[in-house]
Amino acid sequence: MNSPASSYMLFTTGGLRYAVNVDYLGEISEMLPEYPIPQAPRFLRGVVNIHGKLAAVFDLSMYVGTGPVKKGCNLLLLKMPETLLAIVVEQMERMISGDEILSFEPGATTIQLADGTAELLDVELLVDSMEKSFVL
Amino acid sequence: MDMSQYHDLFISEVREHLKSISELVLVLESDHKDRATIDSLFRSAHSVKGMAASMGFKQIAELAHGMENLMDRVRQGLDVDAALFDILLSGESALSSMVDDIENGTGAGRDTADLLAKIAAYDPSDRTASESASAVADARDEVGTAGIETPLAARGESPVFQQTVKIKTTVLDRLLQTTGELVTVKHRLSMTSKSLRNRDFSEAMESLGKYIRELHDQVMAVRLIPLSLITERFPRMIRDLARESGKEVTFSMSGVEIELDRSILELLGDPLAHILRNSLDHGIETPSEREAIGKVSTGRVSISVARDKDQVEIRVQDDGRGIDPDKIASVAVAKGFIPKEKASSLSVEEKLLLICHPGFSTAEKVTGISGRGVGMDVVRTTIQSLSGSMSIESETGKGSTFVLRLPLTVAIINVLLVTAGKLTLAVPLTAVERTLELKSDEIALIDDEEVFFLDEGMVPVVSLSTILDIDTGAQNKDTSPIFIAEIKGRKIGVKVDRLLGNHEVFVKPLPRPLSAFERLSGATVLGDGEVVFIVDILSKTL
Repeated sequence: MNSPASSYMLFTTGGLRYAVNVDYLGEISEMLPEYPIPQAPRFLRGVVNIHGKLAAVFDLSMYVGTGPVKKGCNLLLLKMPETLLAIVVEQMERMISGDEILSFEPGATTIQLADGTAELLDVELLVDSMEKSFVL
Repeated sequence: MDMSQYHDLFISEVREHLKSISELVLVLESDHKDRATIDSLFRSAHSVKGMAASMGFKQIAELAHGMENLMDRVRQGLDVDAALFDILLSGESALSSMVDDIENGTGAGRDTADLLAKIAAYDPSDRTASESASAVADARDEVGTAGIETPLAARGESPVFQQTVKIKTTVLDRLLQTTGELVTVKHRLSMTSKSLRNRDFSEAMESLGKYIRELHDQVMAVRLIPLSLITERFPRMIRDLARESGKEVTFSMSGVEIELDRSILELLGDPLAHILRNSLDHGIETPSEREAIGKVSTGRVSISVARDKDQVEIRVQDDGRGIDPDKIASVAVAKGFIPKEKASSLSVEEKLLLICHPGFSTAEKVTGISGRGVGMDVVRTTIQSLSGSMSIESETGKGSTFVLRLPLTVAIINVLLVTAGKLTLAVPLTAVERTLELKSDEIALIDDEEVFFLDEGMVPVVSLSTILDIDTGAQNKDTSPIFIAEIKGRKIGVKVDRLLGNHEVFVKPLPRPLSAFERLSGATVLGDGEVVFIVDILSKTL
């Protein structure tokens, strides 16, 4: 659950900066062979095998429509119960603690930092809406 | 003394005894004078009392003691009638609930005063109330003082070494997962072995394969649990349902010693119970109805289980009124599930399977027994999620049989590997009836649908690429590889680009969000590291 007391990882993809709660962080991996997923929308690029566990590769920039990601990306593995999602990230930036956030409005999707803003990722909401989009 | 370490042991052992009590009461019901059963009932109640008292569960000990006293009175010659069985079964239910409470950490506080009073007052020759009250008091006083057994471990004595040990189910799951990963690694090494062409390596690989197969068989054997574990509650359930509905039923089970993987058994109990409830509610007639049509007044319901290679067939049969396929079809048309013109072209089996359509119910009134028109769709979906299948046989006036076919295990399965476009996909072999290659002139176009003729029947053809929205580019081939699947009682030819052959694979469950794809039931990793999805061809209407 996102809150001002949590710590966040900052990363950029598709030219936008995002913040994700560190509670969801699994690991950062280099790109791995991707295998296509039948019936999947384009933002789910494929599936990867990370240490024997399967994770859907999620192109966040395509999902929000900010354009294709650059080359030389990494995978940021996000974990929740029964959930594993590998986000394609262009650059991992740094970890921030809650007190570095200048403004945190409940329900807001953007947080204010000293050096700019970051889009706050609600991982649970993201997975929910993703699933709704491809239930056929 | 800290007894918490004995909680799990206490719970499992008391449940064993309660299971025995439930079964023994039903045996005694059919033979009121069976001395061996009377003695066994006494001993089971006595054991529960002893274990509960030593663990400090006074209320359980008190109730078990009441039941023990009652059985002792029966041993001394007290007459037995139907009220005794109800009292004992109520006692067993109350004790089970209290054990559940302990397991759930919600304490063991239940009101058992009425039940204890009934136990004490039981006397077919009508004993007086004052004597009954006195008996209750006696029962309470005696708890914790006389005849209480303390487990060996709790007394600090050395237990006798047993030939069996209890293992946590999470350990069993982990064992299976590790074995499955070994199967995947073995496939990888096999591929390397082929390219190396090194004789020593190949021989070592052969041995490795043999030992992994042996390990796999042993792990699977450890995970196998007899079906009786979930069917043991059914005699009691049938008895209670028959009483509630004023019907007379004899219930029998055979082959329930056959073992299935625990992951399958965990999901199978509720579907079986639902089919049985349906048989009682909709199938079996009342005694007067049966007599009026020349049947014996007591109906029959049975479960018979048989193993066929790596599958298990479970038949739930009743000799009730049967299911009228035409009536089912009319209801389906009336509810808008199928168009009228399609109903007339359905086979009898297809019509019967319409009862598994969500929201279907032909019951003229909703009863508390079989629910509110939900259920059979869930039953069928559950069976299919286990890579199994269900069919229904029925003859109006004579009865119905529900046939469930299930694999023994679901974690390591045999699949048919196929390609569709650029994708390699796996189809469980349980869903594949046969494979064949059709020449283009063997496929005809009838009403805009591709079909071919097989064994004098017309089989529709669908393309796996179309089902899964896979782009295959322009296709103009002389032959089409096809596998035949039976879906909802109908044969369907599923066209693929290539048939790659059979393969043994370890099924990995899909995490979210992948698990939301209804046609994908899992995935596996092939020897070259390729991730291949397992297609659930049966789950949705094609």
